[in-house]
Amino acid sequence: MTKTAAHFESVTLEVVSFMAGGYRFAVEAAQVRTQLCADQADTVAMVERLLGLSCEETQNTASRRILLIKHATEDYAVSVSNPVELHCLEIDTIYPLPALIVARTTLTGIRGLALGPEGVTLLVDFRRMLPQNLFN
Amino acid sequence: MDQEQSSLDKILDLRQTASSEIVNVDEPTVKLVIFELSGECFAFPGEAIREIMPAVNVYFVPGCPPSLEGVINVRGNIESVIRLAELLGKPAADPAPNSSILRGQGGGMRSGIRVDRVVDVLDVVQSAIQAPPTTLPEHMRPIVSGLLWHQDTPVVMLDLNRIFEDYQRGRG
Repeated sequence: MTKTAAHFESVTLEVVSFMAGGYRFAVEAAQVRTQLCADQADTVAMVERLLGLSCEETQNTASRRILLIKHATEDYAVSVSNPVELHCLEIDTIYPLPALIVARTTLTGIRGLALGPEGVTLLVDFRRMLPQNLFN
Repeated sequence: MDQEQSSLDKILDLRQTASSEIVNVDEPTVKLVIFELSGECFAFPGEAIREIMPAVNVYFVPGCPPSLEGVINVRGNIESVIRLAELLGKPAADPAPNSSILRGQGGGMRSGIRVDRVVDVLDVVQSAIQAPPTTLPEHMRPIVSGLLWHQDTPVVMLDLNRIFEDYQRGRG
């Protein structure tokens, strides 16, 4: 095994995972300032709406948490579903999206996916969602 | 005086007929992967198919059309899987237990393609491939590249480059 390969295998990505519309998503932990309770933020964007998931699925979700997402000018609050967890993804479980999925997905802000025993986790980049559209 | 044809004569006649049917080996051939979908036979050029995979775990990806079944892990690489039946206008159905996934390459992309059953992989002479019939349904015309007969069954040859390119553009 080369030194480069060994280094590659040891690298992990710290993410905050959450549920949206019944599916598992994760955002790079570096984009998240903190987690708040549902009543600790005045103006909140629903993550399902940001992603383009069905609103009907949103209404069926009972337990919510707020992720405070870092932004250059002002942090913004995004409501996600439990469980919200901080954990590390092995880099060799992270993949870019296949070309046909990039072309046909109706979701926005998806950068890649992680494949693990629990199935697919879609990796979200909140920086790719325009802040001015969050709270319309 | 007429003599009844001997056994040897019959054999020689048969051999003569058989030898006259020998295909000219210099004629160009095309490798085809023939498969079945909803009871009909289709084929892709062999050069477009990298691998025929048995049943593997397909992981659902939300936010994709129903014709995009999910992703598979192929020895550490992730590839999408599309349901060809739905692209061809066949009724949507859950994959059969013994269905296969063809790993295809075309239009600069790679993807798995769900088919009901792989029938055969064979070389055919190019002259055996006829032009697409004019009676094809409108939605099939752009993606059909020819027609041939295999074991008395019509086989529709498909253009994988066009299928992937069209799918990427949102058709199907």
